[in-house]
Amino acid sequence: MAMPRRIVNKQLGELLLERSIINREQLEKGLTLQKDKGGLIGEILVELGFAKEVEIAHVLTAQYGFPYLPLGNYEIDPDVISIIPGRVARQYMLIPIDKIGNNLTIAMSNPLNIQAVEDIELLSNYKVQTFVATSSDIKNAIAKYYKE
Amino acid sequence: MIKSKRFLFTTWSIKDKLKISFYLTVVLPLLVCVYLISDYILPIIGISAYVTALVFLNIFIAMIGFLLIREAFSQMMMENENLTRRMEKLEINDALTGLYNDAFIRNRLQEEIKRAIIHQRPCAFVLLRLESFAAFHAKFGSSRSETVLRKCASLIRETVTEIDPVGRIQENLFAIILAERNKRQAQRMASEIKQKLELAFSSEQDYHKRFTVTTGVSENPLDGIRADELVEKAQEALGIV
Repeated sequence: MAMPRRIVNKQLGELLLERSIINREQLEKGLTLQKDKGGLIGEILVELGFAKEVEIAHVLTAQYGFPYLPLGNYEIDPDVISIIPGRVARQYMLIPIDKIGNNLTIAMSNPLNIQAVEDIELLSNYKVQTFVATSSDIKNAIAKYYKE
Repeated sequence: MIKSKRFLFTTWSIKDKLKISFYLTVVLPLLVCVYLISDYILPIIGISAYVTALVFLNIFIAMIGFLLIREAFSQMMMENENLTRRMEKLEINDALTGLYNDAFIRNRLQEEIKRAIIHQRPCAFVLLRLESFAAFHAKFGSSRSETVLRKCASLIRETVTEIDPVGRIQENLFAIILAERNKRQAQRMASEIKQKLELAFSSEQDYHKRFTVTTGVSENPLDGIRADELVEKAQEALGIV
């Protein structure tokens, strides 16, 4: 991955705590729910109403240096969409948004998922650059561009 | 319980069938014989038609007894077969190597894929085939072949982590589920195991005793979202499909 970023070992929950977006009690509640039902902590905190998707995206942007991209009015070329199959986009919660030369730009709700980025590189033979987007933006984009 | 429709008494329990067949084939004919001998054979008087009728009745009763016994045993055998089939379904290990069997690996792979989808993680599947195994088996026999397979199983088990399920899904075909590992990571792992297995037999003087290993790797989500898709893709990579 070409995107430079700071190496921070802190979990997303801790980062949200440090920035006073959530409190300790809310984090523990979210972690308990995650342990019981699985899922991603960011999505669980949003479902519980403790944090907003945009706040999580901003934390990832500020802490790791991933640029934030609101996908709302973004139009994606179908040729770019065809690079990544729908099942891969759905499972990793990402969507390809542009390709320039040998670089493919994708938007992800969890850009820390390095395995997903490696898979996209293996699948596409492109170098991947990552943007952060909210889960709901990506879900909407997937629903719009992937008909399968 | 499987029921046959051949006889009226098919619905009876095995215990009842055996009890009645015992009376029909042993006790009743015996009593009839005693009656015949005492009343007709011993005095030897001319009432042969009546004696013949009784003998036929005796044979008829014995035949019903025989059919009942046959039915009872057939029912017992069917139940035994069903039990064996159920036991086989419950079996999860390969008897030779102690690794998991094909059915378990496929079920577990499907579970791991579901977990991977929920957690937005990959799940990889690796196949390793010991080449020239059939020729080795033909030349050196079953005992030596089994030793080779057990050695391979042990080496694979040592290389992966404790929680990675390993199975033998065909005679010389091993499978590994690598949860939360993507294709690159799985390819590295497959390559490491391949080298280890080939090295283990490389010092053999007789080239028939040296093996090469072929690997096939697939991954969820890149190659599919179902266990059978991943197995098929890994087999394709091996050149099986």
